[in-house]
Amino acid sequence: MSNSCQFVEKVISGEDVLTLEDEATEYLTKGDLSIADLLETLEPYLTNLDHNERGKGVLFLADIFEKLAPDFLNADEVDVIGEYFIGKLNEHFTITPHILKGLSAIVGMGNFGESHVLNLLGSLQMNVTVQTLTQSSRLAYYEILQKLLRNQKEALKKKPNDFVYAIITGMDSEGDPRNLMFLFQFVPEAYSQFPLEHLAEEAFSVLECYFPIDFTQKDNSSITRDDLARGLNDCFVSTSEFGPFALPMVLEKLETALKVAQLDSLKLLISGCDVWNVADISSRVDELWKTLKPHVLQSGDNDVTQLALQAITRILRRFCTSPLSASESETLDNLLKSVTRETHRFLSDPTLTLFLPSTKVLIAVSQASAICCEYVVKTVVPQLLALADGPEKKNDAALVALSHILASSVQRSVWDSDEIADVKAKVAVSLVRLLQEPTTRHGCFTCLVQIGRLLDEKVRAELYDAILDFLASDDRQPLESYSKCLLALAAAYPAEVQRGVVERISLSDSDTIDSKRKKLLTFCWCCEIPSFTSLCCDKLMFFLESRQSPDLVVECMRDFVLSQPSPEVLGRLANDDDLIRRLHDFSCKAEVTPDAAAVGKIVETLMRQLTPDEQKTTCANCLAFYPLDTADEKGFSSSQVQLLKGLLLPLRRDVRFDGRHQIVSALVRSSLRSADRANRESSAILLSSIVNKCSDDETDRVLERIMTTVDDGIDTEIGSNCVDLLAWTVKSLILRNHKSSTNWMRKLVSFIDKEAVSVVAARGFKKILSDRDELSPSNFCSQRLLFKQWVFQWIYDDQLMSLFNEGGESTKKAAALAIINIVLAVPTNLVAAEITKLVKVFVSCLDSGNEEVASATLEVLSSLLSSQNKAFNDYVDTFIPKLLACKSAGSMAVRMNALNCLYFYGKYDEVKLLPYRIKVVCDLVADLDDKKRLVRQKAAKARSRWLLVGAAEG
Amino acid sequence: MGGGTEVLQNLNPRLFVKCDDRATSEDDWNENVTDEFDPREIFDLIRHISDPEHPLTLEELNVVSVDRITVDNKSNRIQVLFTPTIPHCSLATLIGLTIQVQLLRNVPPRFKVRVKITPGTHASETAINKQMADKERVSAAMENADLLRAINKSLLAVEEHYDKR
Repeated sequence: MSNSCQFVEKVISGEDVLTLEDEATEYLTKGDLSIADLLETLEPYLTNLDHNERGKGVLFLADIFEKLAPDFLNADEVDVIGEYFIGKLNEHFTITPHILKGLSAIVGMGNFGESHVLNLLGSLQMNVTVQTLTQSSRLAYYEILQKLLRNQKEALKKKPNDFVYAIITGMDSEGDPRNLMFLFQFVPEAYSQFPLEHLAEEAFSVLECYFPIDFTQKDNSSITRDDLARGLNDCFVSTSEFGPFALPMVLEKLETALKVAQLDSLKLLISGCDVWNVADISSRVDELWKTLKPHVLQSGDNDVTQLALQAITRILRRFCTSPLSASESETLDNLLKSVTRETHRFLSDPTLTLFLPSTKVLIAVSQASAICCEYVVKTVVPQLLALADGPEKKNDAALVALSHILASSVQRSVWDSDEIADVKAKVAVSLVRLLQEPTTRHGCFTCLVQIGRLLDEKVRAELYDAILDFLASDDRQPLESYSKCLLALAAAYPAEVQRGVVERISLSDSDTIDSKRKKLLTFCWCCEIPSFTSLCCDKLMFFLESRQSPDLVVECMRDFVLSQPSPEVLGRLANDDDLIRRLHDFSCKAEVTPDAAAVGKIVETLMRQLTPDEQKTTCANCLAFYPLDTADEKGFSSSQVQLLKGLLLPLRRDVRFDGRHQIVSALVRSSLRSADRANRESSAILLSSIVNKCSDDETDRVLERIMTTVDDGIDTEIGSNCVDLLAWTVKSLILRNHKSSTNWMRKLVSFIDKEAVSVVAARGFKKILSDRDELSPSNFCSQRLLFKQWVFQWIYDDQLMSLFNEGGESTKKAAALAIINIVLAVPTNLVAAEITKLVKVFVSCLDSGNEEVASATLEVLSSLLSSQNKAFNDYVDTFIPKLLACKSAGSMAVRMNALNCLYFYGKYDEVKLLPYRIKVVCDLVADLDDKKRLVRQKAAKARSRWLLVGAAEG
Repeated sequence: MGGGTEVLQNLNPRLFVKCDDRATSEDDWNENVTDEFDPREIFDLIRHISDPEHPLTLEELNVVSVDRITVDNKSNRIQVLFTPTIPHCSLATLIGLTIQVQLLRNVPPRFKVRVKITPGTHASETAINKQMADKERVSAAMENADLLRAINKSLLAVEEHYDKR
């Protein structure tokens, strides 16, 4: 018996047909069963008088067609089946969903004929009431329409209104978000290709009822309100025919107090301006301006204001980029006049609340088009200039506002117009004059950034003189706007700026420190201009070497290299100008070293830009300046370590340098023996950087050296220094995921039990978990993924826990401090996940009576509570009484941290807090009269919060 | 604000520059030094209260300023003078009440707090000052749920400021 016969036998024997779908599909695909045989076999079902049995047969067919490839059936077969299914649309209502499912599959088939399209549309409208169907059947209906649109566009165009009408009637009252997401993607596709004509209003009405979208996302749903809102917005802007209906809707929704309605309306207006007809917008322009005005001038919501300003820009741009009739041109003129008239009255005084919003409106107008920009320049720029240059007081705010309009004007190239030539002349003269006034300098420079390069040569010459006057003055500010202005001018006229400014700057003893700083920073900033770099670098080194304020020179250079100039600039300074070697030469030979930390920072930043070969060469050149063989028993001096940090910290992993052994030995000595704490720490950090980056063999040698030194020194007067060095070494090993990190960590934990160094060992965990730039990937250090999480696991370590639970008094406190230091540094979500295990530790720490432990614990709690983690709702009864006790005793830091915790706790679940409200509010009265003001401030903050617990905040 | 249907009493009030946060000194962290209450401390408690009409603080509108606050630690008296933005401002009482509530909540009860209108800056100065000085009327006002909600709303701005820092 063949397979197909087996299938027929099963159907005839009464086996549930729906269980045989896969089998039948397989026979069809292999050619063992023909469509005709299948239909014949199903006859008992398809012609059954019981609609349930008929339904089974139809569903069986629908499922099979869904599984077949779209090009499997030939044209004749699709014709027969298509006609059968279309004809079945008037079947019993329980069968309709199966028919729709089948039709959805058939319409998507390649051989579905054009001749069926109109018949199908007619039958769908006549026999199917979509609103009575379930979600999946409605979706099948929409899918049929979408497939028709994509595959049968030409046939649909014979009766476009029927197709549009089918969409309108189908989607009316659709409420399921999944179907709406489908429709909001399909409808724009359909409406943009078919004219809506007399159906436009009805098509709009079925969409209008969703605006603005009100939808709360369910937990696991992937559909969000924003997705739906974006989709609906696309529908409204899918055709220009919606303009006359959408604009009144936008106006109405903008009037409401609901923020989401305002935002959605503004977004729709912004996108609609590109699509809707100018004539439709033109008829509503007055209303639009009237409605948008409060939003741009008086709205308290920045999001709404920003969108409203964008909407003004887009409305105007639509007018300016479309062919206009006479009346539309008049509308544009009237709108521009209205906007300037309405805002003009608020421009009289920059201290008035509406001055800034008014200038923002004008800036928005100027950004719309060249015509609008020119209009604003002509009407507003003279007024702002007059305001800035008023007889009584010079006003910077007016110039800052002016700078934005100038930026638009330059972008729109309106200054070429003869009509505003006199405005341009006035701007130039006024800006140069106002540059003399300290109160308007910032605004002037801000304007000159935009328009400086457009000034004529004579005015520019005056400008350079004014800049030199500013540099010679005592005024500290403005620096940022000045630097931008100078660089804009230097980029446009490098030779002129070199002659007019850079070469004319000199330092003299009579200069004030602020004047000197400005001059030096000018040289630094000018390094950005390629042709100036060498000149400026030489000038700076000249001032340094000739001892003209060397500390200030170094400070300015450091600030500049840290201000993230382009890598090319740093590369030029490091390579072309050999700045690293020159700084070493100067610092190592100088009798009085300038700020070595600052020089180190400059060197570090420059070294980071070099390639491995360049680093190697530079390193070899510079290490010659260090007395490696003669470093005394205390190791390197503080300034040497700072310079060395600059040179060695940023070395790439594969860069080897000579003298490593001597350097390590000297650093170990200075990290233990130096009298200067900062030098000890810097040496230890540099050592840990070397440990992080050197090869395994070298690491073992360095580690052995450190371990021996630590073991020798731990019981001596340098015991604490040994623990610090150990902590930095442990950090380095953990970061590079070294095999011996666990052993070294155990060594550190064991020191917690050593009374003389127990607290230092506990503080070592803070060092291990601190984020240090010196040991970061930016300095080419390895950084193990999730290294903080690795350290966090140590709080459950038996060794540390036994010290915490069973150690003596001092050991217990140190262990608690170590645990808190770990918890303090790891991400709060990690701690929150483990909160149930940590509560006991927190409580013990708060009860420890040790100020440092309690303060650190409260700091951790404060940080955790500020994240509003819900886990703390369960511990209100545990922590509130403890916090109340802590805030009344202990040091200032403990009191402040406890009050901070109480403040954050005041934001938790009110139901849990209410039983404590009165007690907390009453208890905090005493803290309002604390003898320290900083504590009182925290108490006031906490009390205010707790007074709001349970109060309606509406 | 809902689409401009609300009519503002003062559409375009003058804006003032905010002062910087109070710098802390070494003495502030020294437990052995007692910090007396001063006008700046009181000013810091009320400067971030939001205006009921504009999304601006009382400091930005110059309704309160540090030089119009007096503190007498010996006789335990605090006086705050506030200046409505316009002489006919109907919200002056609400603003005064909000300042008073904030101070009653956040200064020790040993202080007698007086909140008054800066002389010559409001048409109903005497009547409002009388209302504010009447403890029973202030207590009754604070039991009015709507009023308390309005006051709490203005005070929430202070908390938002705390959270921003």
